[in-house]
Amino acid sequence: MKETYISTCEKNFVNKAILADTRLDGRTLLEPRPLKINFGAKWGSCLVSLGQTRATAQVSCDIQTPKAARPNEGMLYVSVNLSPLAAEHFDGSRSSEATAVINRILEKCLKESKCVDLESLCIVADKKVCIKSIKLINICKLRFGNLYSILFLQVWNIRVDITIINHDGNLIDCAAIAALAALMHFHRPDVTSTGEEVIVHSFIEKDPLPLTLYHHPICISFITFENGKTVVDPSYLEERVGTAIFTLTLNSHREVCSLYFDYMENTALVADVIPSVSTFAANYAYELIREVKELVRQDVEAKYKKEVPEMNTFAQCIATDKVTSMISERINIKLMTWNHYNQADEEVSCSMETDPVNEEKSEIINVGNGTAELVMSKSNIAEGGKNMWHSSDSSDNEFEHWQDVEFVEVKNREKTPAETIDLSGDSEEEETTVLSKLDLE
Amino acid sequence: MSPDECSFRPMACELNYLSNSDGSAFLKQGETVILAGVNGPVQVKQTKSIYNKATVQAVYETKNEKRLAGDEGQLIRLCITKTCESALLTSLHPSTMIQISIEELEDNGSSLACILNSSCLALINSGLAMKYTFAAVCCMIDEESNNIILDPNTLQLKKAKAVFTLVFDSVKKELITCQSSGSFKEEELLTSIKKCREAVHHIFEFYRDIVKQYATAI
Repeated sequence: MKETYISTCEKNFVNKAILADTRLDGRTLLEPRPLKINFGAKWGSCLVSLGQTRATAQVSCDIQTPKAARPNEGMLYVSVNLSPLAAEHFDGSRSSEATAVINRILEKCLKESKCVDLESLCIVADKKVCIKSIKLINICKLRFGNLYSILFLQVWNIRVDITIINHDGNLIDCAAIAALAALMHFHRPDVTSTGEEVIVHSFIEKDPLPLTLYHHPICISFITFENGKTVVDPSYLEERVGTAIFTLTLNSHREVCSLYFDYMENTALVADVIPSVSTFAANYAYELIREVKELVRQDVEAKYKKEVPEMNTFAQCIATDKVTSMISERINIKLMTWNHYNQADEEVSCSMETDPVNEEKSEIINVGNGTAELVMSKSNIAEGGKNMWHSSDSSDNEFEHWQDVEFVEVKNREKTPAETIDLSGDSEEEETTVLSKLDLE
Repeated sequence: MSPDECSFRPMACELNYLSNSDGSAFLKQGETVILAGVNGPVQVKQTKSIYNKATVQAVYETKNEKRLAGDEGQLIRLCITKTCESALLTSLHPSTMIQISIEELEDNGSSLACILNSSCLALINSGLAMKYTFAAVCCMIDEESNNIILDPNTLQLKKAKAVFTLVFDSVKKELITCQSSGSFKEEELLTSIKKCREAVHHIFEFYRDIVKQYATAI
């Protein structure tokens, strides 16, 4: 599907707003969106949200033969994938222009700035070794289940896979943060080289090792508009209205690692952009990297202690107070037939009784046959039943169809704050509020 | 039988997680985390267009490259497509496409069941007309004890003799999709179906709770 066109009206509106130092989401010109990072249970997996723009990253590693030109160095491979989830015009292929641009910028950011110590990823330097293949079964699950070894493979190949899952502008920054956070979080298995043999230890045998990073580069993007104003962290609409995109890769020492310019329309103003934003970019990069480091440190420390991190896991992606979210406890299935594996019989009617003791607890205690179960006392919605709809021309044979119709029970209740909001007000100022569960009670 | 073997792991879900999809669901069943999004009805390529109904397409992404490249990924895509096609009223949108995209963020067992549940939640969220909703339950038969274990995790799956993923519809609770692996007897399958059917209403209950919660507000 094609990208929807942007109207002249919208374009003019955004341009005028920028001229008055206003952005549509209420930010000032040099104000980035809030950053959120959630880490997965595996090493090197994270989900980064920059406002509504979201990207996931996963770092993985395997052992490969090094390049002939650089036999003493490990390899780093960056791959970006634009999922169709992100926007309707992405088709999920890895060969589109947008993918190539982001991929190239990330390669410049991570590979060509030499932030990863590739020499430490060398296992056997410049020597062909013969390794006995021992156990390859677990590779696909743990990647390195037990002992993993194949002939003539000598260096680690680190692979960073980034998937953009929601597009709301500034994909480059979001992907770069995701890649950096995943690399900082990633731990590779320990190896022992005994001349003839190379043994890859599983995570149970030996503690995994983190990658060595010399510095932490991060991308910061700006959009320049035709009136000469520049904004940081552009949204999707701003990205399309702007005339030039400018991405600066910086590390925490305020050093520039790479620059990227793209003119969407010819403009003479871009030369003035760099001096006007470089100081801001350096400060912002410093703050951002410090934030990423702190988040990674918290998660890694919790994982070292072999406990579930309290903050920033995938579970915390789900906002607990939103109307659209729902969190349930462990659901115990309590059936009297559950114990009789071989005697399960079509004729057994599930005459269930409520056991108040068992309902309170979260675990089943197996007392005996026919004790534990769960009774649906209220009428079940969407499982057929009596019709609640009023029909003006109801005839008898329609009743048969009603058995298949799902209906939703609407209960009378007091007015919630959501309903008392007066929508007829003619004020032009709109206020955005998020409905929380408390409002509905 | 321990509580681990006959219970669903805790479920947590957020609908409308993504701003650009027509419907999306972020579902967590135990440690398995799936993100599903639905776009549709959208424009379809001429070659894939069907003149009297909508084309249903599934995109499945996972961090496990082996699975994505191999037959298993193809099988999962097929399973999503066929199950959703059976539930959707595709004839309402002829010559268009309904695209279901799945991003597997973390897999800790029963991932196919979680994928199907999240795609159903995303379809509910997208507001597309459906004949019924569907819910998937994963169960396995233990190698030693021959017990049926519901919603197994990766650790439990290692001891599995056979694994089933069974999908039921909400109206008549009939089996609409069944995917199995491993060797098993016919009666074992029938018993599993029977037990999963009894358990599946908890998932429908979960769907109903979440929809009731936001439907009254909007």
